[in-house]
Parts: sequence; C-alpha cells; structure tokens
Amino acid sequence: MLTGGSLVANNKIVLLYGFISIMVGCIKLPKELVPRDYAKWIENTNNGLRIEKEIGDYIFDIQYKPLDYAALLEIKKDSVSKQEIEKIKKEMEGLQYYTLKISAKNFSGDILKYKLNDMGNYSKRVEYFSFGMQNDLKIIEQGDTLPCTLHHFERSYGLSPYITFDLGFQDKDEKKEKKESDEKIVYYNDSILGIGPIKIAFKNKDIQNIPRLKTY
Amino acid sequence: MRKWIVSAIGIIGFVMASCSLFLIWFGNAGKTGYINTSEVYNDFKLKKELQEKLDKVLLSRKSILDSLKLTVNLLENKIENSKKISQSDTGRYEFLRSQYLLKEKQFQEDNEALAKKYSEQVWQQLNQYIQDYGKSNNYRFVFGTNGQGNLMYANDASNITEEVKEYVNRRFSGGK
Repeated sequence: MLTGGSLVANNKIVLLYGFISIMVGCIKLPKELVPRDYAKWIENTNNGLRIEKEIGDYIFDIQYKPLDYAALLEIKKDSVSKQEIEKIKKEMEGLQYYTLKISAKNFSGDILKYKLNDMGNYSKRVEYFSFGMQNDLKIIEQGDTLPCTLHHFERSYGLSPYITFDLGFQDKDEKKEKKESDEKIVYYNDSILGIGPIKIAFKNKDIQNIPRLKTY
Repeated sequence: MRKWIVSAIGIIGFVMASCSLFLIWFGNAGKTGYINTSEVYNDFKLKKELQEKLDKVLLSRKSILDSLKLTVNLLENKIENSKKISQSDTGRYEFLRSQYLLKEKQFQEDNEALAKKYSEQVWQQLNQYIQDYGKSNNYRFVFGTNGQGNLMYANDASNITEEVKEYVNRRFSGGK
C-alpha cells in the first residue's frame, strides 16, 4: 500500500532520474568512429572541416586535415592500431595539414589550360603552381601569420577536372588557449587566376567537435 | 453530423495552411532590392586592402621618379649657370632626361594596369558575393544604383545596401 512517505520518495526518485537524463542529453559525449566513417565525417562539408568557396569561374575546395585523419590517409587501412596511428602522428607533428583543390565551373578539361590563349601562359601557370604559389599561402590564427612550409602540387595532366595541392603550415603554439569563437583563416593571395586574395575560415568549434578515431 | 463538422474543419484548416505557405513562398521569391553600388564597392574590405597595396606601389614609384627628376633638374641648373658648357654634362643630362621620360611613361602604364587588375579582382569577388546574397535570401532581382538615373525610384524599404555590405565583408573574411 502506498503511504504519503513512499509517494514523496518515489517523486524524488523520478525527479532525480529526470534531472540525470536531461544532463546526459545536454552533455555532448564525444563520438568515436571507425576509420571509414571517421574519414567520411571529416570530408563531409556539413561538419565545417571541408569548405567550398566559389569566386567567379573558379571553385576552391579546401579540406582541413586533423592529424588522425592525415595519419589515416598514410596508413590506408580499414582498421588501425593505436600504435600505428601514434607512430605516424609523431612523424607529422609540428604542422597543420590541408588539401586544396581548384576547379572551374562547368569545365571538365585541364584547368591549367582554362581560358588560356597561348602556351607561354600555360608554362607560367605550371611554374607558379609548382613553386610560386607557396609564397602566396598562409594561415592567420589568433593574430599570428603562419607560413606555408609544405607545398606539393599534384599534377594530373588533365586527367581530372581539378588541380590538387597538399599543404602544410607551421602549427600554432598549443599552449596558447583557443576559444570556440577563434578561427583558422587560410589566406591565398592569388596572382595567376585574376581573382585576388581569398580567405577561407575554419571555426575552432568545428575542430573541437571532431569525433575520436576508433583504434584497436 | 459531428463527423462532418470535424472533417470540414480539418479540410478548411489544411486549405488555409496551404494558401499561407503558397503566399510565403511566392511572396519571398518575388523580392527585389537595390544597393548603392559605390558604397558597397568602397566599403568592401578587399577593395580597401588592394587600395592600400596600390597606394604603396604608387608612392614608391613616385619616389623613384622624384629622385630622378631632382637629379635632372640639378644638372640642368648646373649647365645653365656654368660659363663653359661641358660635353659630358650635356650628354649626361640628355641621357637622364630621356630615362626620366621613359620611366614616367612606363610607370604610368604600369600603374593603370595594376589599378585595372585590382579593380577586376574586387568586382569578381563582389559580384560573386552579391549573387550569393541574392540567392540565399530569395531575391529575384538586386539592382545596383549609382545615383545617376539607372534606377529612377525605389522605396527605401528596398534599400539593402547595409545588409549587402555586411554580407560581402563577412564572406570575404571567410565567413558564411
């Protein structure tokens, strides 16, 4: 039989249970994803780590590569051990990594030849993208300008409708506290395509929201 | 009887909701607005950055020309004031004067080309961002006015200059 005392106790238990449920719902528990799903999450434009920007005829697609993801791309396996990942990450420490792809709207040919009148300018483009572009790239983060220290132009010789650059920038001092509202701005001061300087911003809150990579 | 009333209310409610959605959708899709083109252009961050770069280049070139001009003028004065005109001085004066005129012409052409290049870069990005603003805010038309008769009248409520300025500068700075 229910007494007044037991009713009060039951209500308290219900309230406590409800409170705990709400708190659990509010706390964002970090997700853990297997390598394939982890890579898909990183590459999904809805998660803020891959940004596309259109300027005039050109599309800039830039992917921020957290160390786990960059290491995963090196290993290329569906399941990885913690030791494997940590070994590769150790080698890659000190830089922040990005992949930049440039393509032209409604154009599937060799973008190096896009709207080119003569082969002299083609050579200039190849030379610029191979060597000169590195000096026009930097990261602006918390008031600091971080140079591009790694620049690799992957030539596709017209086999794909975009050109790809693997980029590495000096990493920011990790000791300095990063706020959610801070941003990493990739600054590209274009001097060959005629579009001028462009900025692409990655928000710290999106970087802090990256799930964990599941290892065995 | 009761069933009929309930069904009738349900149908009327559905029709009213559909009409409201229809009006909202097509009402928004028909939006037009206008911007003060000069104001948007001049307040665009990229324009200000490139203007600063251009000013530095112009100043540096002007400095080179001024220095050369001073040398030419000094030599000219020396020749005019000397009792005996030296062949080497005259030769040097002619050479420096032609150099100055050549550099002046070259710098003028380069300055114009650089200003044109920067202006094209600004308009390329500005056009893209204004287009994106129109699309994402369901505008059918966004007119650009410059106060010289290309838009004879528009309600002030259609002036979206401030919103567009804020949007284009946010987009240029890397925001969405």
